[in-house]
Amino acid sequence: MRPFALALTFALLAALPAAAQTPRCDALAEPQRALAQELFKAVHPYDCCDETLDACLKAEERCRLAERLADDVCRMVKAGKDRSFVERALDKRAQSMIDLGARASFALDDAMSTGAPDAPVQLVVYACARCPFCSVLLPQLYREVTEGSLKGKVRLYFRPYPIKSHPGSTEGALGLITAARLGKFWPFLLELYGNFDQFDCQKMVGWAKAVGMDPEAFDKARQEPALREVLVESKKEGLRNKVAATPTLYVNGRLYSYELDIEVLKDVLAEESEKQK
Amino acid sequence: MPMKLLENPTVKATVRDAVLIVVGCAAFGLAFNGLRPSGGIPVVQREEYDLLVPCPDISAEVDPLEPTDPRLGAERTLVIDAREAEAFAAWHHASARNAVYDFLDPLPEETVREIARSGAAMVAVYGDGADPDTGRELAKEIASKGIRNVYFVRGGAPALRERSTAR
Repeated sequence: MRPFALALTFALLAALPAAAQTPRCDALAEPQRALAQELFKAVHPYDCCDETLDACLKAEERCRLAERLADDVCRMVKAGKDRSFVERALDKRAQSMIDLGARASFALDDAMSTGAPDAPVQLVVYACARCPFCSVLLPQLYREVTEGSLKGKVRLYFRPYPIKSHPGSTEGALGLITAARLGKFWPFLLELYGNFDQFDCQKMVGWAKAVGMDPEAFDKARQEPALREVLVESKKEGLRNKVAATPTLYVNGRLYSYELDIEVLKDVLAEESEKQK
Repeated sequence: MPMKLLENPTVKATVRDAVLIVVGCAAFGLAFNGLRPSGGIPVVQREEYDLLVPCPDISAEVDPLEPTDPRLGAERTLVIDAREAEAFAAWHHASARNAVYDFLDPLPEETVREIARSGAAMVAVYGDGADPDTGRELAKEIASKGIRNVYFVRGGAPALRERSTAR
């Protein structure tokens, strides 16, 4: 009986670190859990703890970043990613979160922003009115910043960056700048992206009306040559900031090169918010 | 009619062989997939594929050319000035032709065709020399259309003009 009790104790002790990670890690099936453990023993958090992730998680005072990274590792492992993919991905996350050089500079327009003015995180997104990915990501970010888990933590700024190969990208961007001038930027952006597959330059007037703008005023204002200059300046700024695709995000001035999935972004932005406190 | 066709021994043999090949390949594929260490790729995809990817801007990269490079004066080099028409009229490189770069609108197809038809061994583009440099941006756009040996002149028109004044 005694050897059996000892064996049981050792087995429970061995299982303890795995069970005390994050709910996502605890839910992993056995082969995936083994891979996650292997990664925990190889990966070092880029901040808050000098040991491996495994040691950081076992420390008496666990740092929040170690938990976040462990959860991120388990997310990727659960999605079937292999060890080298996860390691490369974590490098990208580190590059996005650590100050590695000069921060990007922007001529931000408050009319194209949302979220708490005193939020600790400034998120700048260069986006094209005709980019399918932007049409999914921007409304998600808007919802999170205005009523979701990022409320009070993030101020979101939109920077128009028309992609030349997208037909209608300039007209769409001019429509967005016009909406900003008329004080209806976000409702119009949501309308524009909500009707992504029905896009037509003339239909924009109807969408402007649908979100409460005077259609005639909108149609007249969007043809002003000065707006084109504003758009050119935004595009030039993007090129100076090394924008190579849309959407491109900057978190407190740092180029964000990690995953653009909204759940990952929520985690990364929450991490940045905690760091700024 | 199909049944009648199957009575033809050649057609019958062809169909039989095709069925055998398809069944054999499918069996081999399933067996190979089953041997994968992760348990194999699911035969039926339950989750939606993540098809969304960022939209790339013009991705071609171009090398710089110094304003002193002798190739700028070579016979088979096509020199393009990317600046506005007024700036081009005020001063331009001796052999340059004007093709204004627009940050918003794509390069007209006709201009691309003219460059392709020019028979030039090299295309050197200069712009305003600012940041971002219109010359570099136009050179990238031309290169992205499949035209080879496209360069931009470092420092743009101001650097070229300074050099021509110095001479």
